Amino acid sequence: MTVKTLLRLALVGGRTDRLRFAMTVLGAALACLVILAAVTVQLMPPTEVDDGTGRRDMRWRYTSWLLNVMPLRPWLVLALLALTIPALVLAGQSARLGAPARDRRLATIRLAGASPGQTRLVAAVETVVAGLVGALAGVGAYHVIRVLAGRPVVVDPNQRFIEAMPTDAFVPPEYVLTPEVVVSGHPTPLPLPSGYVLVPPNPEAFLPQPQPEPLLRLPTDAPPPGWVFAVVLVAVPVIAGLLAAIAMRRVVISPLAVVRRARTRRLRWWPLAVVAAGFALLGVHLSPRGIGDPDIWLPLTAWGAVLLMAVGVALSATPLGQLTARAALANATSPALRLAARCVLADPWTGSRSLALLLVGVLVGAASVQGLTYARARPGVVTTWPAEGFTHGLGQFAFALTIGVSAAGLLVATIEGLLGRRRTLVTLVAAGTPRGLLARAVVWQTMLPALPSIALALVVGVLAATLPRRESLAVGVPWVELFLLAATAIGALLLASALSMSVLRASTDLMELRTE
Amino acid sequence: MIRDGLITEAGQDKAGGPERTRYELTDRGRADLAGWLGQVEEPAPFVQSTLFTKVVVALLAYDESTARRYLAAQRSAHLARMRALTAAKDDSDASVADVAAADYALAHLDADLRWMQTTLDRVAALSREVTS
Amino acid sequence: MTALLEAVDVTKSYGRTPALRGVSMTIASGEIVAVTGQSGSGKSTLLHCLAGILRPDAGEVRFEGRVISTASERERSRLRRTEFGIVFQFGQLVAELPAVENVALPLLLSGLSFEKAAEFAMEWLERFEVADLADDLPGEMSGGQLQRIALARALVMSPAILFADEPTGALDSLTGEQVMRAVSGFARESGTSVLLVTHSATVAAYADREIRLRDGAVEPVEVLL
Repeated sequence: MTVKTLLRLALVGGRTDRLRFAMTVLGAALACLVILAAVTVQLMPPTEVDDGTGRRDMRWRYTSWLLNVMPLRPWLVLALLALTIPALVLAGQSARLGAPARDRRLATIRLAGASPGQTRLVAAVETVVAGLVGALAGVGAYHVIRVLAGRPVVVDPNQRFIEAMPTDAFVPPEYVLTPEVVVSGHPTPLPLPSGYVLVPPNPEAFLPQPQPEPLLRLPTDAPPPGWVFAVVLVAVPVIAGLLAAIAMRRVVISPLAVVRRARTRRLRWWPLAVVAAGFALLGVHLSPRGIGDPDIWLPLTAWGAVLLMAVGVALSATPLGQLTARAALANATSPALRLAARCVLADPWTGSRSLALLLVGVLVGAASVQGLTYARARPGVVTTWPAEGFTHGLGQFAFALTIGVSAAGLLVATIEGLLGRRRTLVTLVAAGTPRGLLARAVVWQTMLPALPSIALALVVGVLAATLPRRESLAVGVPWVELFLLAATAIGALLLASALSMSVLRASTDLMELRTE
Repeated sequence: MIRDGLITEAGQDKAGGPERTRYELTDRGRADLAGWLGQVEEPAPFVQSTLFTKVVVALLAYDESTARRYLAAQRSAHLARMRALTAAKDDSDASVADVAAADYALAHLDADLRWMQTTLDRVAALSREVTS
Repeated sequence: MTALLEAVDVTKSYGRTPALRGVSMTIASGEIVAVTGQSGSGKSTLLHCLAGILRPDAGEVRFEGRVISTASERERSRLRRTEFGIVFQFGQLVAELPAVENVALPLLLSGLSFEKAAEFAMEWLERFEVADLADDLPGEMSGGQLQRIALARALVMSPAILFADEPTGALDSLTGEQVMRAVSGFARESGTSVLLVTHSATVAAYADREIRLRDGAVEPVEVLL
């Protein structure tokens, strides 16, 4: 196949195909932008320099405390990298829009004599091209933001400390909160809202600047070197293509039809084992002896434990959904619930991908909310536990974004499911099934796996914040915040279901009975 | 047929009406019938009545697989004729009337074939019902 | 005549449902063979096995003496592109590509340049008298036009065998006749073999001989007297 042929076959398509292309571009652009932001932060020159004599030279150049405080930098980079996940998920989920028509097209191409490898190539090239366009857009957006946010801002240096440090935020270990201290050379103690005063490690090293210095809002003074952009422009499309290939791995396109190789429907409980492994690793992290060099093993086991817990909770949506569906079939009489339960059992994996992301968001949210409760109860105690690495603002933003993207992904999956079963649904409606029943069944189909998994995510999150601090839950459980967390997640799911109702109405319009 | 020794009397029925005599095939009668059935009918339109009789008789006097064999032979003959007619349509000096006539013959032959198949299927279903 | 394509004791089941039970048959070079039978008799399955689309559960399919039923998917795709042409009842054209690109598709998949492939494709469209539809999309065409374009695509690589599964099933008699005359005319002219699957006797009448299937097995041909 020549390149021209490959591109022609990969990029041909109607309205839905163009929409899919656009959404993939958007996801890739966002991922690219976030990666560049993370790299920029990583490569920023230091804002606090130890000059070797125990003094710290404070060269705070930015308006935001997040960017200035050096020990926070690794957490910031990690938080930004974590944001790439929703962006990549968006790109990956949008690859499923309009898949039936695309798969039929691929089947026809197979009939004309394309080999299976050629067909997979055609499918992947579309995503790769969209990834490249998105990466270019992301790089462009990065430079535009650099120009727009590049103007320095003048801020009264004495105000910097006061407004920048909320007390219930993560405090780097080198800093100490004391009731009050007078900084020599400074006329009055620097007050903080809750009555505490912030003291940098070497108070004498801090001298108020003779005149206000212009500060930057964003690290626009430190762009990454050119090769970084080149790497990103190559990496993002390649990753997008790989994700597309992985998504297609269970799809067999034969010249006769497209068949999704069905996976066995036995209950598989291994995700819960993964969660348990996460807790085990946490135990290793907390054990006094540890293994080997603590500088390597402490963060490794900490992050490993977090990753295992997150992955385990995310993947447990499938078996939990099957469990609740079976229970519903055994006990429920409502036809909508029974219909939903059968649909979940027939295909437990639809929508569980978006649910996975939502569950990770709930887990992190629960952990941070619980951690804050402990922080408020015991001021001055600091740990290196990553759950508290997400400061209030950034954590809330990441949580909101995660919820939004996963709800969008769930919407896509639900709509796709509805469109796929259109003929069955129309026949049901024509035969007299009330649309209200079908609508309720759609909602139940989402909720059957969601409710138990959200509960699990909350429990694991709370435990994850409790154990490393060796706290007891008697200190306090933020019931209100946890409830709000769960309510937001469930609310987002209900919103997605409600939006898919309009599709249901359109799909079951009886005019659809006139067959092609 | 009694005179030719093809059938014999086999009893009298008196089921609520005028007397009716049942007859039975003799061995010679059976052989003659086999001969008549085995002769393939010349495929042409308006062969229906003979074909109809033959099919019904074949199905009633013999078992399903025998009937199927007779019908298969008839089908081969029909198809051969249909091939010839189809080729004739392509002939360069065939007029519209010639083609129309060929179409007519083809349509009727096709109808014959479809009817034979349907009847065969019907009998097969019936005999399955009876024997089950 | 030596057999160009032969099936030897081919057996195929879909799950627990048997579709073909030990079917053997041959097609010689230049022959038009019709495979007939009721629905469910296995004729489409036989075509799929012969054309290398499906692998039989037992038995062999041989093309030019080589066994193809156990060949790799890549090798069978190559055969479908170069030696076999396939026409179905419907759904075989890419809806988003214009007719000329649909016909050129096998050539493009084999690596020919866009321009050369389009040129070739136009010749074939002209042969079947649909050249004026070259830039139109399949959605804008009638059934007869679609089938002739599908036929052009099936024949564009000059295959040794044309497989046609109910090619006129969705067409009225006159349009169907048009398509069948195109098929048989081309086959006789070029010596291409044709395997024609149909349940209609009038379509089967375009073939040199008939193989009838019943419940997955070949019905023996009866000639009495």
